[in-house]
Amino acid sequence: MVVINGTATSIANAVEYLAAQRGGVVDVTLTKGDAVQSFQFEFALADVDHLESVDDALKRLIDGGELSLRAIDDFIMRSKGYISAGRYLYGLANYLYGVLAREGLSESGVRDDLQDGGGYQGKYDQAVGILGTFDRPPAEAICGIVAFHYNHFERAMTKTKSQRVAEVSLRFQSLLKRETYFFGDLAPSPHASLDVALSDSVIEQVLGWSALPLDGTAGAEIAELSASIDQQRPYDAFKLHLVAAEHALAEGDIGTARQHAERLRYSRLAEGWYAGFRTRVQGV
Amino acid sequence: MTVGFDFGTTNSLVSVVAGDRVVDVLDAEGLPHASVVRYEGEDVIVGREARHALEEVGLGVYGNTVRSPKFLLGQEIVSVGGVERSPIDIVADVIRHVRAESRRSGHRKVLGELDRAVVTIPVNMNGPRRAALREAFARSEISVTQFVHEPLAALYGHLRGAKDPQAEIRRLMKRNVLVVDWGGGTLDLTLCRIEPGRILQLRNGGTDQVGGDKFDRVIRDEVVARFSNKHGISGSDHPTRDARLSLLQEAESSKIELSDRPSVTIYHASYFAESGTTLEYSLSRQELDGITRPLVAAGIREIEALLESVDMAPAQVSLCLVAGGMAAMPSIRGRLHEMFGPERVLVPENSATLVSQGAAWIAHDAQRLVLAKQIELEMARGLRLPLLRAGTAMPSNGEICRDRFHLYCTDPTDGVAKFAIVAPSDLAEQPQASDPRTSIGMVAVAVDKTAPPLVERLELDVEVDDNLILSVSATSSRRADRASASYFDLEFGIGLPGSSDLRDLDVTEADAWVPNGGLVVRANVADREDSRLVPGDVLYQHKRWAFSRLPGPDQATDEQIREHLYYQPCAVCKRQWGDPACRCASEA
Repeated sequence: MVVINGTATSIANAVEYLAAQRGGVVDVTLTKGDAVQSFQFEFALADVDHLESVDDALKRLIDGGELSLRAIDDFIMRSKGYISAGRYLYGLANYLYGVLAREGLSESGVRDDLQDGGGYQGKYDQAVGILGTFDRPPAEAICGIVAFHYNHFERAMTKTKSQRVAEVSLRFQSLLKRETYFFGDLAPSPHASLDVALSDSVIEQVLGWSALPLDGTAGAEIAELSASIDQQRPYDAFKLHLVAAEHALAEGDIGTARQHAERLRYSRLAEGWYAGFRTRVQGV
Repeated sequence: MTVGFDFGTTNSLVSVVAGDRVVDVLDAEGLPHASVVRYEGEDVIVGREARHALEEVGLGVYGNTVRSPKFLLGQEIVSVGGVERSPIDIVADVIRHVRAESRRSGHRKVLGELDRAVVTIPVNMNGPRRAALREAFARSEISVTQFVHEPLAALYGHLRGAKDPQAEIRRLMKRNVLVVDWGGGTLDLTLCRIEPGRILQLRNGGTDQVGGDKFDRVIRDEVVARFSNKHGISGSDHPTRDARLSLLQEAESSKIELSDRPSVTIYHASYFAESGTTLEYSLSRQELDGITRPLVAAGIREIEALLESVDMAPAQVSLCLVAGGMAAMPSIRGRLHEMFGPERVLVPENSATLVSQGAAWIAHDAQRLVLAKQIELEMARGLRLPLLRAGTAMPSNGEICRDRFHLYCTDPTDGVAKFAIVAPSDLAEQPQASDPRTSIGMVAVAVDKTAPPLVERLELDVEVDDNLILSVSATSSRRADRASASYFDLEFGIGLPGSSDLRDLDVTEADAWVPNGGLVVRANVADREDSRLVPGDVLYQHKRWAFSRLPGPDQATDEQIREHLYYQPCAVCKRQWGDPACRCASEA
């Protein structure tokens, strides 16, 4: 016997009923003889037009050029009516609150210096936990940005449709895997994509520095980068040390290259790179 | 017909269920009745008319006008315009007005006599004030069938009024729901859990420091200050009383308008009396957010503190239901969105009347409150005696639920028997001995310190009245001392809409519990004449033969022997127990 939400029904009807569900919670109890098993299914299938409407509202937020608690709230209120896309909206909003916190604009006390999941990273994590299941351009852009932030370069390359995030991630991935990479300037290939609008200023800055040519010709920018490394959080400092070390090596400044490389010596992610880098330094 | 009556801080409202829907009985302007009363000679003016004549914001007495008399309840007498009045009479004037106006409305047929009501109360309303409120309703010829916490009523109203109540209940089953009732005068909070068959309160909280009236005052004062600063208005150029009143009302309407518009212009001709300067100020949303930010932040801190008190993260709250007049304010909504996530924050369209509607549904469904958590007495050796079991139905109008417990004092040596009243901190079908407890209170009575343990008899009377007040009264037989205390801060439960599963919660008796640190009072009462419950040192004074190491049931336990020895100096060097200088045992 099948009982759905407290009402007994036939198996055929139960199948039809469950297949037709798009949202809400359904209690199902299966009984055979003395054996009773209860299940609870939560349905949350978003309608495409609802997802598109939320994307439109996000576009309005982006076009408005303002990121504030009020702007996010307006975005939420514009989107809240699209009920089936509620989870999608929740993911986007969480990411935006994370950006707000990282930019120091949050009123909530959510700060960017909390490491226990209560800070902006917690918001980013919650966001990608939801958005990772949506094949929508904003969701992919956000997942790409967050993957890049966490130095998950392979994921960042595959998730994002942004050429610059993909190219910069590819550069890092190649460096770490000791593969051939492009030394030149990645900046001349900007393509208008959502990640430009959605990333926070720190990620923008790191992306910019990561796209610098690694052939020793970007001395002024690298000097600026080097001066700011100690203020960066560990994930970003990792990327910047990598860039600075490679640039210094190309420039022939072995001492500086070694200094930056030593900061990555005990990083498991950079193990392969460090071993190769030492060989290259010794060969100079 | 029993109605729902929300006697609010700033507004009062009657709601009633007609057929399968709930209707709000509003005034001629389509608004709830203002909880303001004004005395002019023999005339008693109540509601919006009295409010329009009120300049000052805040709660209490202003000249011959009383705003939110609910806050005066509990006082014996207040002076209003030089006349001494009873707060109960003042409240009764408001209730009488609401009753009369409601009975004149188009819903009079449904309302009938309007002589019975489920009445909502703030979570922090204490016992004497509840009793006074009941008396005020009685004087207005309305019998209070039951008091219900305002946010709990809002939650019931939300579930009962949902398009598909059962679907909403399924969605929230075994989940936590926070109700934020942010009204014109108070912020009331209740954290509930939806359990099979019922809604149970986990913890309550609130404050009267961040109500909507405070927002209006802050907006008015800040606008005047900014304008004065910009235009060099002298500090002595005071506006008239009427001008201040008018501007206050404009501040309130601007606050509401800014929910939908980017800016409003506040205009008041010749606002400053001395110079005749006109006040004209364009107030933007952004400015409004800045001006009211401290108040919003204070309210959010209350919410955070409530969650912290039960070690709960915002992510563990599945629904944040926002009720009350302030629910629509974008800066409040925004902070709640940020805290809980937009998917979990619900501001219903009927948020301003949800409390009253919930009370009406409770009345219609004849729902009765039950105790959410077991009330226990801490006894000697970490035992606990259940005084009132979770699921106990709360008394309705005129009823009292009472019980008497016969106890013994296990350790009278300090001359005081201590009755520590506790409740499990968390909701659990079967609270375990090791589950943390929250102290409700302590009652102490004098006992004969020369009497042997377990000789002095103690009586503990426990009762809960229809005002949902827990009263405990203890007496000692030899010293004939008596002490009493009352507690109002209890958590309740209520049946879920459409549920018949109102069985008592299955609560097992707690076994021994050992406090895990901190300063605790060693309970010294017991519900049985058992010498094993007596501390070893006390037992030794009165029953030395129990330590003679002979076989038999009356011998001291190992624990009692240790307790006895703890207070005995070393037989050789006479140093105290544990003194590191005593090496007699090792040397021997």
